[in-house]
Amino acid sequence: MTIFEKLQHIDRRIMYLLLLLVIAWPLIWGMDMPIMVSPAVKGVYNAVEKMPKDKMAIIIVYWGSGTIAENRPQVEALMRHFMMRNKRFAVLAFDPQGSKFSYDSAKIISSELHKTYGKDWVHWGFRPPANLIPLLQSFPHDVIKNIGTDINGTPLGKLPVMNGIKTIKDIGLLADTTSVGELDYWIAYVHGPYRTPIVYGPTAVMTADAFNSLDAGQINGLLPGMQGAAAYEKMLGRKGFATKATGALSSSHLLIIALIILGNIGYIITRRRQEQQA
Amino acid sequence: MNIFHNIGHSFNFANSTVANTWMVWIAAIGTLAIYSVLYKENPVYRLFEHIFIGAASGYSVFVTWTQILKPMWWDKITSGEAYWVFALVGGAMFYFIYSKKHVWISRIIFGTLLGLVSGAAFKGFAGLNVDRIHASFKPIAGHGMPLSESLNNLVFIIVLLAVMSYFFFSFEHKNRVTSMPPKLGRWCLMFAFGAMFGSTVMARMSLLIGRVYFLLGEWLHIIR
Repeated sequence: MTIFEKLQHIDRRIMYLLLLLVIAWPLIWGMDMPIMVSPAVKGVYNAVEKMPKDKMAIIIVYWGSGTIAENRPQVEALMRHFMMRNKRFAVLAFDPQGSKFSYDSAKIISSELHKTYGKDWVHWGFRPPANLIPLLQSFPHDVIKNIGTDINGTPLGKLPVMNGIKTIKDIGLLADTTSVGELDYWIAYVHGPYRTPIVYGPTAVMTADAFNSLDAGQINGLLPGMQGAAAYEKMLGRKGFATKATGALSSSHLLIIALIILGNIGYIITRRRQEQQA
Repeated sequence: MNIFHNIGHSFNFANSTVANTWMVWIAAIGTLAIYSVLYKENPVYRLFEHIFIGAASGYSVFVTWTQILKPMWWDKITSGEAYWVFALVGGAMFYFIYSKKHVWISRIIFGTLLGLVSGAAFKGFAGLNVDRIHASFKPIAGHGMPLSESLNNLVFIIVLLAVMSYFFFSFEHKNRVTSMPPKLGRWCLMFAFGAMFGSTVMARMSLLIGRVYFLLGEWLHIIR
């Protein structure tokens, strides 16, 4: 077997090991990469900045442990931004694990920024995803009645953070962080009829699909996976997990590009030799 | 695989350092056990895969009861709103799908549900697509429009028409006039799929980095 044939048959375990090394190296020894802030990410930042203080934002959490590395930095950056600007928000989870993760994150950030649960922010808890469409049809008319209780079982009407929040007109922004891709439902049943602004934090896999909505003005901004979260952290002037992971993300991409090029060089040269021999 | 981490946080066993160390160790062992399949299929991977599924399912049941069924259904029944028991009747009707004799009962509830969902889908179609169709009518020239925007819109319109022509199957694309736009459309689609696949790679790498970050940082404490 020639070297070119070997290039096409590298043992996958060697590739996994290389991948581990190129990811671990920047994490251990650091590798600062420039982080570009795209207009889509600026759109998210501006939407939060523009939200009136008398309204409330809803952070939608529809992700679990499987995509925590991508979605949690997005949610944490959004929470931090709302708290830094003294703007109220509620978290609504459609995943049981995501519910707990987002609650823990909010508690840590609120303690850091001296914010109070029930006054500055609230967690509405987990709601079953099968109930999404009925909920989207009902809660815009009466938020407190249709959401009911918070994550601790407290009736929403008893929480000061909900003062003045009655219908969807009192909601200033929807921030959908998801690994599922239910954005279309929020657009169809909330943005379409009520024109509530939406910003979107999908996993990178779903990013390409979201540009339709961004171009059509149905969403105000977009955070593409962990890279989007890193750009958002940059705008907030904070180095969180996403920023620290950017070097590893770049080095892993470089390795994959190099492996694709090597594999193709091996394939092309081997094919040419076979053709010449024939 | 992060469920192992999740379990630790979820039940808040204790705030002590010892408990935290245990949680991190359980999460690390779970992560390594699941990744062991990358070397080859093995019983440890299988064991932890089952633990993962069981833990995730059990946790979902726990959260569904404590955050939904108990406060929104059970507590209402026990506090005097007995009519909420009819929700159980409606829900139970789905399970008659397993009975050959009484399957008709499940059809009533399925039919009702389908009707409701179909009605909502009609409403959703307008809410979703009208803005998108409207946004696809872009001007290529106008008073004060920058050249860059004109070019951008022109590219958008060409790509839109080319891709739509690719999905036009009413007649064969034989001559050059009818075959060129679909060919261009196919190329545009290939670029789009390439971009999507690139994003997929980025997503998978991000997840792996998240786990490696946990192992090197929270478990081994060797991250800067």
